[in-house]
Amino acid sequence: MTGNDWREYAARIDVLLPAAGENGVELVRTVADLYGAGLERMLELLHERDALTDEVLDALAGDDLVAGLLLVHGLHPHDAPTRIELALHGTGVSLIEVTEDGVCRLRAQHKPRDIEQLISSVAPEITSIVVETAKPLIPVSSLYIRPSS
Amino acid sequence: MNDSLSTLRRVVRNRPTAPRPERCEMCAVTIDPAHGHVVDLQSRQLLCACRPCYLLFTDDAAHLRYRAVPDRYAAFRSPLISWDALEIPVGLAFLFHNSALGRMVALYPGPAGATESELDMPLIGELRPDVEALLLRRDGDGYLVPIDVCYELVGRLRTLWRGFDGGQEAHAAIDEVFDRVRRRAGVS
Repeated sequence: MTGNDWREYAARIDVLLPAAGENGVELVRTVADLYGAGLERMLELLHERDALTDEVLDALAGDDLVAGLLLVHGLHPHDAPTRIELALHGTGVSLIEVTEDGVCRLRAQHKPRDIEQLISSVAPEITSIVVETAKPLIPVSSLYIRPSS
Repeated sequence: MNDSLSTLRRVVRNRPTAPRPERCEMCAVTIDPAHGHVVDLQSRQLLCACRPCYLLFTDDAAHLRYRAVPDRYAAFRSPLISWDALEIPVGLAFLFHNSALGRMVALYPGPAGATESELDMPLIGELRPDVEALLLRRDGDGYLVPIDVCYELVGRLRTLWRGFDGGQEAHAAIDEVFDRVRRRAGVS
């Protein structure tokens, strides 16, 4: 497997799964669980040997395939706020906080398009997203209106 | 970030909340957790069965591929069996009459499931072939039990087994099954 082949596998799953039925979905879940357990064990073994340096972790987090699989199994080395902030970089949206119950509060001028997909792709543990559109303390428009009273 | 793995993530995260109901392996109707079993005499597999399917195979004399596992428990002490003669490395075993082989077979549990032990002993007449077993412990407890009880125990031990003799958890599971069997056999 080279390059972007894994995306084709992922796309194949998207095509096959809807027709797989209850047992098929359970099989996929079970196989994924097995591989997830393997990934976790691998990380533990590396960690016990002090092999998970910042450099290694960044490399794992920076690889779309590895990071994606680690996210599937809740094993991503960076916490949710870090991942979200990184993904929001350059979008004009900023992260206010991630609450304990998984609500992601964002600040933006207006609600960005596809923000749900962006957040869920880097932080699937987020349960809901609240976008707070910042308003100036005194709306500029009000300066031009003479109060009627 | 590309979101190619969203489907896989959804599958792994969205787990069915209620366990899926068990189904009869012969006719596929939903069955209670406390259902009966039939033995497939060819593959020696145990199948979960609904009551109507179970009742099709209760005749001991019928020449059928399947045979219903009866619900009979009894204390069993036989001078025929000496533990050492069984040549079993662990303190637990079950014996049954394998009708396909025409002889008694002893199985003992371990980390890989049930292991069969060569056994040269006369058939035990009280045991219905293939569906009833003699569950034995080294300390002398012996019970006639439905064979599904033995396979259930083997399945549980397989997940709990640690080291050579099974370890604490495995022994606790064995004690629990023997307590249950003893109650069902009417021995206090």
